[in-house]
Amino acid sequence: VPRKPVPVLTEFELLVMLAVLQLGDAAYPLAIGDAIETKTGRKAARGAVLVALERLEHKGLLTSAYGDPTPVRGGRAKRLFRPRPAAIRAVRASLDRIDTLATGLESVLKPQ
Amino acid sequence: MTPRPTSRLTEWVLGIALSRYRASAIVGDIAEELALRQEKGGGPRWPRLWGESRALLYLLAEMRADLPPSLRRIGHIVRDSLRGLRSARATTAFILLILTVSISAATVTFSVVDTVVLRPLPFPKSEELVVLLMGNADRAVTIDRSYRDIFSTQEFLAWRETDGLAALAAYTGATLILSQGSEPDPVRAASVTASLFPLLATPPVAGRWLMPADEVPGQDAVAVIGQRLARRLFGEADHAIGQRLQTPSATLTVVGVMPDGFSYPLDTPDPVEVWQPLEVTTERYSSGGGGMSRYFHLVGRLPPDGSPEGARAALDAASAPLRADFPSMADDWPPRVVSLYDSLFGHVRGWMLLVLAAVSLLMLVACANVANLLLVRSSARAREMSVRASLGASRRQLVTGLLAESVLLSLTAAVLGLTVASWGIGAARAALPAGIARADGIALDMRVLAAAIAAAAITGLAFGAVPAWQASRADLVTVLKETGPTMAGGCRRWRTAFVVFEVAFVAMLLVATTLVVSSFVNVTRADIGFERDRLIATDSVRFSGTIDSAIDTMQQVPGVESVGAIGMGSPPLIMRGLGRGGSSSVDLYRPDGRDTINAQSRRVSDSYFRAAGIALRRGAGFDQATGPSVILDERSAMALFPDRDPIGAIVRLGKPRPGAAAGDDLTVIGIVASVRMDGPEAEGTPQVYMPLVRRDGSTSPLPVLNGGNLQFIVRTSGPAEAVVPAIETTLAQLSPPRAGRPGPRAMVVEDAFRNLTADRRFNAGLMAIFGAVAFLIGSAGLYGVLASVVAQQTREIGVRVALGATAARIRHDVMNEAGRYLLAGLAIGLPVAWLVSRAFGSLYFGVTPADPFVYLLVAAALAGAGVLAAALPARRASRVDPAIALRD
Repeated sequence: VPRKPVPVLTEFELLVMLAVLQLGDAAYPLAIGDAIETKTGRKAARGAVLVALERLEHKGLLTSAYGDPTPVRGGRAKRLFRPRPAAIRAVRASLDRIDTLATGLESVLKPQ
Repeated sequence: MTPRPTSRLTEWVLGIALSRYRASAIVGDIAEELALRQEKGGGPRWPRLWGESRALLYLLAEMRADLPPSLRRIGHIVRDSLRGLRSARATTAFILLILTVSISAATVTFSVVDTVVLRPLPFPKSEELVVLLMGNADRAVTIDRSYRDIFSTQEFLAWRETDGLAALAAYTGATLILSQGSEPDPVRAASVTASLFPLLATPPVAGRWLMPADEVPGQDAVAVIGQRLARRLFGEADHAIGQRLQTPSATLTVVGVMPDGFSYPLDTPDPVEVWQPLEVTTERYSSGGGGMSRYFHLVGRLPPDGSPEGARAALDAASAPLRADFPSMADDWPPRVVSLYDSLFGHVRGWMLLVLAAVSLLMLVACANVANLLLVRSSARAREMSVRASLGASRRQLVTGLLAESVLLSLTAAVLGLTVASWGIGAARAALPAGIARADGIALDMRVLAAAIAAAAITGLAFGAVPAWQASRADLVTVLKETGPTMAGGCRRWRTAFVVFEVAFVAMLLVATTLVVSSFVNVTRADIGFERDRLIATDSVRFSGTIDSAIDTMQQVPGVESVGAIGMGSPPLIMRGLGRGGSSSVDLYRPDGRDTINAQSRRVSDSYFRAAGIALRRGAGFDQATGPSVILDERSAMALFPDRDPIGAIVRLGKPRPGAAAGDDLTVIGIVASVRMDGPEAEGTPQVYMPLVRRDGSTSPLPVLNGGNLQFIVRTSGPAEAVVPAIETTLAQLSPPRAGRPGPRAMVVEDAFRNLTADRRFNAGLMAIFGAVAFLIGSAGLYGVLASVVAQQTREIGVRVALGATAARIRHDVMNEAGRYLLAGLAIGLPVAWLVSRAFGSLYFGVTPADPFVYLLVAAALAGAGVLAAALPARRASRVDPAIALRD
């Protein structure tokens, strides 16, 4: 059976995807944005994170569900995102592409 | 629990736009983020505001994510062009302002003119409809303007069967008080002959038209009503048939319902909604003594191949029996035949078209100005385009961006224009002078709005996008080598042309505005033979007691300066201006039988002339009279006695007829100023005055027409409005009204004057607004061009200064440039204005299109604006430092 082609991720989508994987069961937009900002130092606008999540869900890489309400959120539920199997393949493919292109550049990219 | 970071409204909006869960999760994220920030100590200063803006951000993000990719690209384009417009904030705002003003002004004006004047009448083949006007135009004027289209039973019966007309109908208007509910409900009504309905050829939506059988007395308690009234009273048109209409005098059975939009007569303030049968027979409508009394308006339809001239000839032939029966009125026939359209709109058509022309000029000025602003901008952007192209932007991307900017600008202007126009249309409806047919049907015309927006959009594309595009094709190196903003030669030529045309358009508009406004001023200042300020006229009251005692009573009212009384006819301006009172006329002739004239007659007290401020030119007033006497106005004195001194001369009443007994002799004792009874613009009519009080016991030469009825004219010492209530109270004491009836009214004569000049006032106000706006836009346009020319020539000016040119010389050159634009604009605009304004000759009063003063004034105003517009750029140019200019 021919497999569906793996969707190509943009750089920001890749970051969001990795953050979702890192956060596991606690991946909701605010936390994802925070994770990207604290770990990479890159600015992640809340709107942009949300757009990326929606798009990834649309591409079939993520699913979302609503968690339990918490007091700090004014008694409102979180929208939690989880990776689907295709997500792992897509992230791997993206990272592979980067690795492939980076191969042979070790001396340039990581000067001793 | 943390406080709510957003308002309920925002949450509701989010919930509607997304889904309840998604909205809730977003609000939760916002709340959590806020709490986190506050924990860290770096929370926003206004949490609620921060929360709201976050919510908006999320909402936009969600919506963007939902868009298909093609729309998302459009979103990017829009965002980029918004950025582009924002970078030139002042220009964008100015363009939007100009476009909004001109789009809304054009839309409102076109909508009004189209509804009132341009749209055909709402009847099939309406061009065949005609009304009859009194044949002898001079006499129609003499008698009274409002009687010029009223006819008698005999005339209607004589003309009804003529070949010249396919049909003829008679009607009179009235207000009917319905008493269906608890409140009396006045509706506009008309009594019409059954022939009116087939003549207008509009089928009923339910039931039937009135039939000839309905006219027969005893069977005439029927009515046809309008669909709106049917809905209001009975719910549905079909339900109305057979229902009863209660009026104080009769119960009418509804036999038919006419569709919405049908109304006749059309010149009523609100649509006619009830039509009752009218039987026209000599038994019913004729004056005693075999005379002819006029009651009806007549409307006819020409045969398909007929013409008004043909109809008039046929009516002439049909008038033969009338001439035989009423030889003294032979001059009245045949009647004039005028198209219904002209009779309704002839008087407003001219000024409405003038206003339309004015607003079109305004639109042209606006478009020229916007084009100029865009040209400045596009030449400034040529560098940007070239750079972007060299960095790899495809031509398609560049063009799309430019187009988007243009479209965005036009769309924003369209939305703003629509908003202002929908407000403006209400204002225009409220401000329109009363009595304009179809004014209640005025609504925003979407076609016109679309046309105005299209004009703006085309201007934007032609002068914003195209030049920028062309500029982008220029070689990058060439463009970048030229320091500072550049302008291609072609662009410059366009700009010069635009500014010249702008000046020309503004000049044309200002000429028209000056003519119209000064006409209005002349009308208000015209000598109308009496003094109208601080003057009150009263309704006619009937009272017992002597006239002198009544005048004395009125005189005692605080604030009253002098009082006069009239026993026949009404005070000046009141009848035409306020639609109250009546008039009466007599024929006068000299004993030698020469020079019969027809004059308006009034019986007045001694004090009338003083109270009304009518100047006594020669002779004396009635208080000096010793026998039957008459006072003539200058016009009738001139007509009767062109050859001799009228004072002491004898005139007789009536017409000289061979064999008839001589009329009574009246001695002319005085000549007073001619009064323009119907306002400054109406044709003046000869007037004669006879005494109200018999001084010497001799019998009055005139039958007293309205025994004991008097109207007062009161001159007040202060503002007339303040004295009106006291006068009305005094009138009610002199003549207590019957129970349930309103008391007699006192009317401010200036109000009547204001009504008579309402058209002009409106017109002048509108033209003044258009003129002022165009003047401002034009001046700003001139300034813009000069400023950018100076900016572009900075280097050149620097070189010249370095070579020894003085500051005065440089200033002089900029001023010169402004002068050249102005001269060219005026050279085009003023002659065209002269040619065009001649077409509107009937609208002017006391000023002619050939008046050189008007053109001098306009030229001076524009020259003044030109000097002001050039002053700042000239100053800037004269301060150019060559060192800096050449280095930059």
